[in-house]
Order: sequence, then C-alpha cells, then structure tokens
Amino acid sequence: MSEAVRIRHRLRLQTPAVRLPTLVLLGAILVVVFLFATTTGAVSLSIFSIAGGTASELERTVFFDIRLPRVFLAALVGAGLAISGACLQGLFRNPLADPGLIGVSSGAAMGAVIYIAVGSSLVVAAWLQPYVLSLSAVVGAMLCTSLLYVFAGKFGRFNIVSILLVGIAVNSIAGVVVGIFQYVSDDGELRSIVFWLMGSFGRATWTSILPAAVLMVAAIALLLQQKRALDLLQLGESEAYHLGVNIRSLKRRIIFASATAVGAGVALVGMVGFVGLVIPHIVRLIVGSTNKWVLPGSALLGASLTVLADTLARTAIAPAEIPVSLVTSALGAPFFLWLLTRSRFS
Amino acid sequence: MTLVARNVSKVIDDKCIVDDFSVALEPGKVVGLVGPNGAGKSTVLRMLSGELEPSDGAVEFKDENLKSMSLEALAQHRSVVSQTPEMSFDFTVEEILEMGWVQARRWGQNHLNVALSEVSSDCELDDLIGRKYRTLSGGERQRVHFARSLVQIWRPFDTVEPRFLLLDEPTSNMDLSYELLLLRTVKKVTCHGVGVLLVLHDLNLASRFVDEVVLMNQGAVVNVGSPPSVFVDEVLSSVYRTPITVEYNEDLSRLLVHT
Repeated sequence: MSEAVRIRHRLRLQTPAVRLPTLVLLGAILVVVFLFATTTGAVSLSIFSIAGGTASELERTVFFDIRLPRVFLAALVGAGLAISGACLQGLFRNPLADPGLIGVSSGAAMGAVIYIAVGSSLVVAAWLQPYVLSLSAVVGAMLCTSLLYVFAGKFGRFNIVSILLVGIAVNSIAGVVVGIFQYVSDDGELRSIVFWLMGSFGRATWTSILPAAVLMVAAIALLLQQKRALDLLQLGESEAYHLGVNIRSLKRRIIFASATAVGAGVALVGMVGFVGLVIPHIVRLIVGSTNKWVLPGSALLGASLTVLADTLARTAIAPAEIPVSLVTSALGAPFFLWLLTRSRFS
Repeated sequence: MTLVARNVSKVIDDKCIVDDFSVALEPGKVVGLVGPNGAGKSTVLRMLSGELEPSDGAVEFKDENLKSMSLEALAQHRSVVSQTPEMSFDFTVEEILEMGWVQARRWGQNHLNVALSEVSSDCELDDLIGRKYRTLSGGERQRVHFARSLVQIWRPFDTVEPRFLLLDEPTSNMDLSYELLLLRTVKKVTCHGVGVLLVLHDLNLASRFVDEVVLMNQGAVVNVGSPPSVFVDEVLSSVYRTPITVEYNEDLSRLLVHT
C-alpha cells in the first residue's frame, strides 16, 4: 500500500474515483435516452437499420432531418439550463436560484413576444427569416442580463443582494412588456405567444439550431471551467478572495455564460421550466456538493431529462404535442420530492 | 522577507477607521493585535490580507506592494481565517480542507494527502474529516477553517519559504482545550517559517502566546512591545474603560490579566 493510499485510508477519505462511475452512468443514461428518443415516434425506427444502411429513404429523412436535430437541440438546451442553474445557485450561494433570476428567460420571452406581435409588419430578408425569432429572443435575453449587470454594478458593487433585487426589477419590466404585447396582439398572435412561452422543440432544423448550438457549447465549456472557483465562493466572497479567486471576473463570466447558454436555447424552444432549478439538486444528492462533479453531472442529467420529456411530449397523445415545460415539471417535481424525503437533509 | 503595513489608514464614509498604522510580520513570530470592539483590528487584518485597499500608506510583501501581486501568488503565501462562514450547500470536511489546496500546480495529489494528514492530526480532525460540515458545532467549524488555512500555506517539511497566517479571533467559538490546541498549533507552524497576526480578545491567552503585542484603540496604535511592557494596569484600564489589574504569577510564571 502506498503512503498516499495509507493516509487516505487512515483518514477514511473518499477517493475521487468513487464519484467517477456516477458520471459515467449519467453519460450512459444520456446515450440510451438519446437512442430511444431518436427511434421513437410516429414512425418507429431501428437504429441498426439506420446504421447498417438498410433503412428506407423516408426512415432516413425522419431520422436525420427531423428526429436528430430535435433530440440534439433538446439535449443541448437541457444541458445548458441545468449547468447554468447549478452555476447560478453557486454564484448566489442560494439553492433556489435559477436562470430565471438573472432575467435571461423573461428577457428572451420579451424579445420573442415582441417579434411575434409586430414581426408580421416587419420586412425581413428571406434568408434571415428562420433566424429572426431566435435572434430577437437572444437579443432580449442579452438586453435584460446586461441591464441587470449595469445596474447591479452601479448601485451595489455586484453584491449578491443587489443582483437579486435588480433581477426582480428587470424581470418585472420584461413581464410588463410581454403583457403589453399580449394585450395588443390578435387571436392568432396570442396563440403563437402562448405556445412559444410553453416551449416546444418542434421547430428544430439543422440550419436553425447550428448557430445556437455553437453558442451553447461554448458557454457550457466556459461554465465547466469555473468549477473550483465556484466551490471556493461557497466559503464566502472574502474567503474566496483570500484563496485567489477574482470575484468580479467570476461573476461576470458566470452571468454572461449562463445568459448565453440559456438565452440561445430559450430563443429556439421557448420556456422550459424546472430543469435549471431542480436538476442540480438531484445531482448534488447523488455526488455531493463539489462542483467538479455537480457541473458535468447536471449537464448530463439535464440533457437526459429534457430529451426524455420531449419524447413524451410528442408521443404521449400523438399526433398532438404536449408543451414540453408541462412534461419537465410533471416528470421532475415528484421525483425531486421523493429524493428529498429519503435524503439525509430530511 | 516580511509582510509590512506602512503607515496605513482607512477612511470609510468619511469616518477614519484606521489611522496611520504600521506593523511588520516576520516569519517565526506571532504578533498579537488587541483592543476594544471597534478599535479597527479587523480592518487592519483585511488591509494586510489585500482584501481592503488602504486609503493611505501601503502594504508590502517582500518589498512588493500587494496591489501589484497576482491573487494566486498571494494565496500561496498568506492565508486568512476570519468569520466562520455559513454554507448553503453541504460539503464534507474533507472537501472544505481541499478548498485550501492552492498548490495544485506546484505539488501533486501525494503532497495533498500528506498535507491533509498532517493538518488533520495537528487540529485533531481525524474523526471529523468524513463528516458533513453542516452537522458540526460552531467550535468544530472554526477548527475546520483554521485547518483549511494551514492546508493553504502548507509546504513539505524541508521547504523554507516565508508565509503568513492572519487570524481574526480564531477561537471565539472554541472550548478551553481546543483554544489551547489551536494556539499551540499556531506556535508550532511559526517554527516552520510562518509569520502570524493574531487578533484576540482574551488578554491572558495573548500574553502567553504572542511574541509582540499591538494594543489598538479608536483606529490608532496605543502601545507596541512584549506583553509585559504593553499590558499595564493604567493603560489597559483607560483603553477598555474598565478597571483592569495585571499581575505576574510566580507559580505559573506568566501574566494574569483580570477585571
């Protein structure tokens, strides 16, 4: 037995390796869910015939042009929401924080609703048409988050309470704008707004998701790198500073990377509730609180749950679709309650 | 090789919290900072740690202004224990100790294990190390954060490097025996080239464990020197605005300060 192993043994330390299998398992679950989702639906597909090249033209179109982009998008959105939720909970040192708090979701909703309500009267180049809704949602998300950033910096030197308070104000402003445009829109527009707000992955095509996918992947990668700084921040801002963390730049990175990861996703699919808040908690119950495990775990589980929710949403009462946000909440909330009651916290 | 505050002052909202304060921390020496509530002790400590910038004067580490040092380099050479933080998420004691490990680029996992082992036995944490932080008592939590600060500036036995430990009332929640354990551990690390600033309220403990004591009142230094030269009846009585008696006990061969 080596000296290091002996020491860890004497102190009964948990070797980091213990948590690795959990991540591997979560990865395996994602792969299985991914395969299940891409082969299930109105047309049942076999992954073997697709891979073996024996599938018909129709099956190949369904798989590559309809299912794959949709499932891929659902996975990315889920991963982005969950990891942003985990990071924001860490940043605010508050287990109830979620991406909605920094104005991303309401900002994106504001941008999208404005476009749905007034977009028909705008003249947009044809090649830009598929992107405009997403673009206006991303702009809305960035606008609200920047507003929050500017005001929180001006009045409160970025302390957490001022970010929270400014966040509440920014969210209500966005809410007012959404309300006004809902009020002035006609029946058809109102219907699109309501469906957009409930969330759906039905609009996914490769051309529409690729730009967003690049943004989301970059943002998720940046968030993953903040794992240790986020751990240290749990000791308090002074303590994290003493341990070498540049607090201001950490806050900036997390707020803007979360806004990008969530905003780009929300822009395409509308609001998907619950994932950002609860997935990180489920992961913490399994792997503990260290962000080295929580962040990748949240991304993996968030992706799996969202893909699963979307698959249910489009198959449960086919050919109709249930709004995906209803499914994520209906799936996740009871599971979370069950975990809480049997956890050590209770 | 010192951490020096040169004539630092701090003004917050037009109020002078610290006025023209100087102190030099040297490896191997414990400097005690004592004084009544609101004397400016914690503000001095925060300026020495780099967290608070002085309004006037400068803090220097090895003749370099703290402002120009990278946070990472600073973190490797000085650690701080101030208030005991509340944690929103449940970490284990081991995870909290590992948070102190800022040496990952210099030393590997084996060194971390040795550091954890040494610190854990110095602070008698062997039985707590697998526990969840939120199940610990206030005194136990304080012991964990003290241990974390030792992990932060840990070096292998044969490495001599100036390092500093800034402690703001590190024993406020501890029982008598752990209070002594902590202060003895402080003494022990000074033997390995660590310089310590210790803010304490208990003047008896201060007189036993510090090499030099700085008595502060209303942001300014009242007196500096060895405990017997600073702890004088009249001075203490006037600073603390209550009658205080200091006597030398022959049997214990130490000062006794009492009201």
